[in-house]
Amino acid sequence: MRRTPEIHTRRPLMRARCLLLHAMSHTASLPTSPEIAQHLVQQQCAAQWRGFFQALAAEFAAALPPEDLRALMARVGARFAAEHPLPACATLDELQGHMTQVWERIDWGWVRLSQEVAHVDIQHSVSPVSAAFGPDHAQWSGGFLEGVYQVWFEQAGAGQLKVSEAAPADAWGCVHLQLTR
Amino acid sequence: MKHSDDIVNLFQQFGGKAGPYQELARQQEHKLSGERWPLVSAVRGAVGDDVPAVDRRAGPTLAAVNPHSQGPAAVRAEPASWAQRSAPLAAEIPAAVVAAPSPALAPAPAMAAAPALTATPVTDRLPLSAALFARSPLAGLAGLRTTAAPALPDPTAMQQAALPMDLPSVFARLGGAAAPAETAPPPATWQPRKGHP
Repeated sequence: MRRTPEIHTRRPLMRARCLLLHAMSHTASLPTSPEIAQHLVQQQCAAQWRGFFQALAAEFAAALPPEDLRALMARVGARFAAEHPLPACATLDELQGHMTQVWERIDWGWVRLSQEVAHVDIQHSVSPVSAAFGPDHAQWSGGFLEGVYQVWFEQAGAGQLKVSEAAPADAWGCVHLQLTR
Repeated sequence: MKHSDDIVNLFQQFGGKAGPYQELARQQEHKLSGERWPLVSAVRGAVGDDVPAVDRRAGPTLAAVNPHSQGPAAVRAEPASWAQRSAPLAAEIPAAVVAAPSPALAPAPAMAAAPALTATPVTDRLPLSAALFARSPLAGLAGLRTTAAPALPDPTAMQQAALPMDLPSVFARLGGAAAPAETAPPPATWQPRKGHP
């Protein structure tokens, strides 16, 4: 049975959205109409900022190629991680917990780390990056989470390893990254 | 052969029930034939108490897993009762393949018993109940699945159970998989392009 994430937020709407998205992934009785899904996706970025971010993304994309934009977003993510350092952790579970605490404080979803033979899977759920920049810019906007997790893992002692995106964000902002050598 | 109701009628004459009545003639014929032809006894002993359900999908599934296992045409032409000898091979297939064979596969009587003659008997490696369980997807309906099938060890779970849990070991393990002399490529850095300050 999957653990329901503890979602602490001062914004009841965002909290309800996170819980609903989590429940929809394994509850068949909830509505699945495209209109509802589209509405919930849009709620992942406040209307106050949505137009601004999408204009910003369009301007970025007009000026720079995707690979440069991805590197730029990774630097932004690294800066974010440096400003949100994690406490010392002994295990992967502890690291996951501290990462999720940061994300939940700002309504950025949660993360699940799972160790595989050749890598660590990083499953970030319901990030609002795609909703903010738009699905057309998912090719480079995912660089932000790459930068964040790269610095967090370096802080934890994985300086020789690299975080890379294994699959771009889906419509819900769920991103699959991997920590590999 | 014409079906005779004389036994039933006889029971009804004195108000009895014919249900418990058992015809012994056929069993006696089996016994006599077993004594007369040793091969019959050998076959019966090989099958034993294991009377598998006829799984028409086992043939194509096996063919899909091992396309080189077709036997000679003479063997393939044998009757269905002989084809059941190949059923233990189904236990050699990964559980996922056996548990969920593709419904689109058509029955292929060409699947022969020939591989069974050379293959290592699966019963040496698996309990008989596991072989039965794998062989007949209808076993649950027939009440044969009274106990859970023995769980085969999941290689992925075993691997994960062996993985270290503390962070230094996790990172050292992942980093150690690389060639020691190999250096990671430098992270991508963003620099403003000319004309785009």
